[in-house]
Amino acid sequence: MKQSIKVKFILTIYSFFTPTLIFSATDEVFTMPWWGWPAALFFTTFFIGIFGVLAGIGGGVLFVPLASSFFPFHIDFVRGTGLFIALGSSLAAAPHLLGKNLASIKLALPTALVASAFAVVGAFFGLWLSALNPAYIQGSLGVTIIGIVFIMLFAKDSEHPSVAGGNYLTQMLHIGGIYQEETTGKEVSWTVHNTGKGLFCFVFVGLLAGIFGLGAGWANVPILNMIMGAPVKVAVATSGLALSVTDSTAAWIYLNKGAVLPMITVPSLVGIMLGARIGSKLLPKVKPAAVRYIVISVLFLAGVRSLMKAFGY
Amino acid sequence: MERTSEFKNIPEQRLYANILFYLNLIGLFILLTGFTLYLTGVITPLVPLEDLPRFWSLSLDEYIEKSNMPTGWQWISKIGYGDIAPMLGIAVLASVTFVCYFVLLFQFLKRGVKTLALIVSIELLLILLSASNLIQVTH
Repeated sequence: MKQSIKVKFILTIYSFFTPTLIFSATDEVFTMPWWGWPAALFFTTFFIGIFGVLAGIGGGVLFVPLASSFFPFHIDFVRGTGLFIALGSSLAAAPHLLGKNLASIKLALPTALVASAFAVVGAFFGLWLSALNPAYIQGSLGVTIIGIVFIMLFAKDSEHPSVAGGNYLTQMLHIGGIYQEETTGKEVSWTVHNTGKGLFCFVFVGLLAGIFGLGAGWANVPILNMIMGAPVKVAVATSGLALSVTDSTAAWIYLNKGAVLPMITVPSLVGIMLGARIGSKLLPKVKPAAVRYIVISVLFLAGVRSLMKAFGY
Repeated sequence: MERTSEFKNIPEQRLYANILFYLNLIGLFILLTGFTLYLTGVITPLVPLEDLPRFWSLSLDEYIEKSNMPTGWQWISKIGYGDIAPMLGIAVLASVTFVCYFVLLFQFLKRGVKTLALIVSIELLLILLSASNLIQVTH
């Protein structure tokens, strides 16, 4: 039974990506009716939404390399949409996670401040670089995505890391909280350490979010969990809340520059939100590890394709 | 583990969650309404739907130049066009955090939590600066 579900998922992924790869001959753009690409984008993001949830990978990080590599849209519009996808997903998830005290405002405030300041810098730098030559962005996106694949493959997490006390920044900002562990019903108190190091890492998170329009859950979670020592559930939930802040600042830059095309952004946003809802219902029925490896493979291929596109292949 | 103030969740968590929830819903509703009007042709767009494939593969500068699309906050004056109407919903979604932080700032000031109020103030300034379109990078 489990094997059959696994096979079905593999087939669905391949049947879904195959037409996308075929359509990637962007010279054939004009042979399609105008609604063809937005419709294809809707279905693509719908599946990104499903598999993103099943694999525990944010939609933005899957969307940008796939849409910029296999669709005819200019990378500026794809990045603008990527930010709104990440923003929309994090805004939708945050209220529930805040209500359960898994997402922490106290932890999100300083981390999001650093990330959003550098996301603004990244957004301007990305748009400037793209105006020079879009291949610079496409190529560096490919390299970044391949790097993210390795981070995803090798990053470890720790459910309840041990935290050394006495960190000045942590005490000054009163970072910590309590949540109820649903599996045991016990209350878990937590705090963080290495706050300075963690905040420094968010400089790079912000830059990458701004330059490429990527959601940064893949980076937020390891920083919050492995470097700062927040419990993994708190790290995942707070990462979403911090993203909603980080992406707001960068999203405004893209919006003001005219890099947000409603015909690309709205179908993508709706597709990913619907997909994520289905994905969260499928989650208990599938083996997330298997799906995660398949999605990471697709991400790797998208990274390679992005690199090839940068070199004119 | 000893419970000091460090381990308490701030009382504003619930308030923040509620504002976020309702503003997000409102933003999505406005976005989908605007997009439906655009898609169904109820409102005429600046760029006809069938011409879109000639524009979306252009670089940003070329697209702005050839389509006469507004940049910055100029879209408000063209909100009556189909492809501009969804911008209102997009702007609402991009503003959700600003409103939440604004409420947080008042709550923190009321409670006298100066450090957090300072962080929130800087973030608010940052969002305002990004949204204002005052920073320009030329190339």
